[in-house]
Amino acid sequence: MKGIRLKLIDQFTLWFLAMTVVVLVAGGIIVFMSVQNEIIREDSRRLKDTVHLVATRLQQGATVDQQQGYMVRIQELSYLAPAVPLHVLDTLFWFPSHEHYERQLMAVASYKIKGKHYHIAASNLVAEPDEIAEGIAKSLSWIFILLLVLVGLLSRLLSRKLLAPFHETLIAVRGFSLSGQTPLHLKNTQIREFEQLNRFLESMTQKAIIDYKSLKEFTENASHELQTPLAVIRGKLELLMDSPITDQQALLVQAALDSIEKLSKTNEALTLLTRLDNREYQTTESIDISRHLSNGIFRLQELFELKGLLLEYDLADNVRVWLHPILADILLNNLLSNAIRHNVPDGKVSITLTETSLVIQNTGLPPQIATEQLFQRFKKSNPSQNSTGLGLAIVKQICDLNDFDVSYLYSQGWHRIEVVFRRGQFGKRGITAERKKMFSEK
Amino acid sequence: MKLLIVEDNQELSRNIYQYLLREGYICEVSYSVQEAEDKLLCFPYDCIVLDVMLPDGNGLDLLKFLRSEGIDSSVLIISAKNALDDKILGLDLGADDYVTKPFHLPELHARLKAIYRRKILRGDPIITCNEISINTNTLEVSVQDQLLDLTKKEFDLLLYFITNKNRVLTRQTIAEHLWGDYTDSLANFDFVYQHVKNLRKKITTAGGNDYIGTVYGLGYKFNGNLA
Repeated sequence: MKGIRLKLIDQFTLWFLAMTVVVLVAGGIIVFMSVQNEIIREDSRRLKDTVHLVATRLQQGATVDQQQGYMVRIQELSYLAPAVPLHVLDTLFWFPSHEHYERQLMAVASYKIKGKHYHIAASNLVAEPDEIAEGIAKSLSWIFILLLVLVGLLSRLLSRKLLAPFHETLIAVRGFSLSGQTPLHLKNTQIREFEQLNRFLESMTQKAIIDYKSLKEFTENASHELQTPLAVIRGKLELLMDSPITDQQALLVQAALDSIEKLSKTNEALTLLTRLDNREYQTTESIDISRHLSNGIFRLQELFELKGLLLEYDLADNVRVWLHPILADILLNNLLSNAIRHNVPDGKVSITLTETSLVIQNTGLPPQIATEQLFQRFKKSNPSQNSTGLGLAIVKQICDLNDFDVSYLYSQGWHRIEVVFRRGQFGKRGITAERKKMFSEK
Repeated sequence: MKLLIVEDNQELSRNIYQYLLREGYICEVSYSVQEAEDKLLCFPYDCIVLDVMLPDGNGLDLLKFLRSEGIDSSVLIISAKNALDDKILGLDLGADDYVTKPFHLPELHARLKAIYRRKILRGDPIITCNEISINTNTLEVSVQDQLLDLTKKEFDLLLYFITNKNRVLTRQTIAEHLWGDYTDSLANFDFVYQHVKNLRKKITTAGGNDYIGTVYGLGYKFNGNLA
């Protein structure tokens, strides 16, 4: 799933704040409970003391006035009424001046003193739960806001410092190129994860370079060890041709030469495919594909004429594409050659180059297998044809490497191959812009 | 022309040796860098045919050796790698040209001849073969002092034939010579036939002999001894 991509530090901050909210709410409830309990416990004790004090005074016959700001009410009960033990009531009290109820704690007890039965009540208004809660909520919100600001600011400052080694690693990895042959050397950092990452990247690039080198060596060796004997055989046959031989022998020599030719071409194409796989052709600049294409057409012009093909083309000027110049020539040559080779007598070829795509169409016989399959190695529509069957595989590989879309359609006598380069071009531009930005930040 | 072939594959160097011997070249063969260096210090050579991969080192190192010793031989590189780096590096280090394995012997010969004309026969662009005269600077061909109107390809073809006269040239080698790396597309060689036909016609129309003969099953041959 693709969501919004947040920076790591923002993720951390969000999680931290979410946790803070939970903790603050839970903490608020605990604070509320304990504050309220404490208030009631303390007030009850004092009220009980007051009741007790009033009783003592009555016993001594002293006057009873208001005690320590508590409201004290003394009533006489009938002597026979049952004695009320000292207890505390949590009640509501109508407050006439404010016209609403207030919470009231009241300690009540009755005492039998000097033949009289007194009912003594001492009461006090206490803060209501919602008032306590409001106060707690307010102070906790302030704490939260303070945290938000501090964490927000500090995390940004800290992340710049803490993630600096990570950003350095990123830049180094982006700048890494296999053909550059130098493994990454990353600085040591004090952060264990980054240190692990750096060491891992170092060993991985080292291995990648070794793999790259060995595959490169393999293709070079394969090419050398195969092409040298081929050169020997071809030379021998050419020397044989110059000696007096019969017509029958000449045909044998020619057949052998044809096979050598094919073997050599196949070897060359397979080597090229392996080198493409190994990404040995690093694109370093954009090229003017219009120029490459018109050169390619010019080079093959004669063949169009000799085959009696009608060539129509419409080429936009100055189309720049992110592609290695050698690959561009191979790509175009393969496509153009195909259009010539798989054509019919007096056929047509039409080439259209726009800013975003290249379309090459040619008349030809219907393909014997699904057109998309023709991009696979050694897949030929007509197996008897004297071609390697690797031309389109190479085209496909080059397109894949450069993020081009390539498609092959056949309809009503026309073969249509389209290469869309736009995507790769923009992708690469995006990366370079981003990289520039990173360097300028640094 | 005196020639040093530096190629570790004995059969391959024998091929080159045999082919060029018939052209009247003086050829010597070395199988290693060491051997080649010894020979180069003792004898002057007009041209060196140099393989890149040798048992005791890289052929390109020999180019540096030539330069440091101030030896003024031309160099034709034989590269099997078909790797662009090697070609560029070789030419940068002072090689004159290169061919890639598996090369055609007539092609190797044509390249050597071209180097020979350029560097050793400095300034003499005229090649004559009986009544045919070729100017390699102006790309003009005349038969009995009558100028022929040849296309670039026909000119190249004629030069290739005359360089390798009395040799059988297959359609394949002609195609590769004229179209270079782009022969892959030319599965059938009708167009070689077309060019040869036109060339023959132009020469005979101008009063020249019909030198170019068809060799059954193989290709063509320029019969230089016809006149």
